[in-house]
Amino acid sequence: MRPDDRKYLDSHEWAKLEGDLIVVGITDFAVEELSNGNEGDLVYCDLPEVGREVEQGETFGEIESVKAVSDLNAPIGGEIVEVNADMMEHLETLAEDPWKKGWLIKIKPTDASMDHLLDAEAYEQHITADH
Amino acid sequence: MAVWNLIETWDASPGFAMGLDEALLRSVGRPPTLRLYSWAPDALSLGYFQRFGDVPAAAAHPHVVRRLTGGGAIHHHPRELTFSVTLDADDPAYQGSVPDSYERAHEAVIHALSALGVSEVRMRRAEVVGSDLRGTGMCFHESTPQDICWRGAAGPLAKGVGTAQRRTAGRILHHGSIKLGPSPLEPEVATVADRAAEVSPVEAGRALRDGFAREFGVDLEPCEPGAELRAAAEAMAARYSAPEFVHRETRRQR
Repeated sequence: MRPDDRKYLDSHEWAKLEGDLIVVGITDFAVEELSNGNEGDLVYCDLPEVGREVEQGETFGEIESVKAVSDLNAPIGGEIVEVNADMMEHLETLAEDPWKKGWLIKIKPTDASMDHLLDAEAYEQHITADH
Repeated sequence: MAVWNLIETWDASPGFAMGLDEALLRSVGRPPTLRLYSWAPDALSLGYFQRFGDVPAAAAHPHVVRRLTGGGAIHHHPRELTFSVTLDADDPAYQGSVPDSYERAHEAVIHALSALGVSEVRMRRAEVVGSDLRGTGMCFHESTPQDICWRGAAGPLAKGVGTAQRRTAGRILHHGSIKLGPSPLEPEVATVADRAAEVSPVEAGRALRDGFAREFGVDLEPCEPGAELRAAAEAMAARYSAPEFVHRETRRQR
């Protein structure tokens, strides 16, 4: 079971409320899909500039592995107030700790409601059903 | 039996070649489509995040585009077949993990190469290949365990097919390049002509169509890109060779 202290998008991003900000990352499942279990397979991650406004569901970045280039989607709308710049140089962190050190962006939400997102159980069912 | 579309666009201009793949990628709900194409003029495509300066051959080439898919640069010349598969991410053909989807698509390509007479075609797995070269930035000079290989003219096992995926908004674009004959920009690479009678891109395309039909158990129905799809492709074409896209700076290290 994935952490139940956060919510999920079916495209494998997670969102966690910390204070008045939403921290966003991608799940271990997404990392595994992209890297086939080999952290060296992650090649590049393009993240946005601080200050950019994103809408819920909008693509905020892209990640490349030796397998695929995939979009990173915003689970919630708002202003991007912090970006994990270390991640762009140290993608192995994503494989090691996608839930904490591997966070990607922090959003100051327009509306902090996360009711539209999946809880851990529903996300688990989603990835089980698809695979 | 599921029906896929089959689109053939021989001698496509570099911008249109890429624009049509993007138009197909963005056509939500469209049936799975296998597209077969060749390029005119001869062109070099960069991977989505590659730095122009990391591909020495690009500086000397008059026609450079950037693909939507990742990986390294590819020389698209008259002795090469390019293909693309576009479909919904939840289509049964590509459902499951990303590596699984590579496995099935590569089996289809292996069927085609075997039918063309190339022997002992296989995915690299843990084998060592002679085509891995440093510093060229070319796709065919870097291999992964699922890459399709056979013995090239020089003797050692070498990469002969390059593929890469783009996944966006619930859709997948899977690009592939099959080397039918050699290019001076891609030395040490395996080609069909190394191990069998050389075939034209059209002939190789027929074998690939049959390989996909066999592997995925589908019928491939030939169709022309309609006026709407063609217009969308033409509208997107200019971007692919625009200097701000081709020369864009990224921090990608390899």
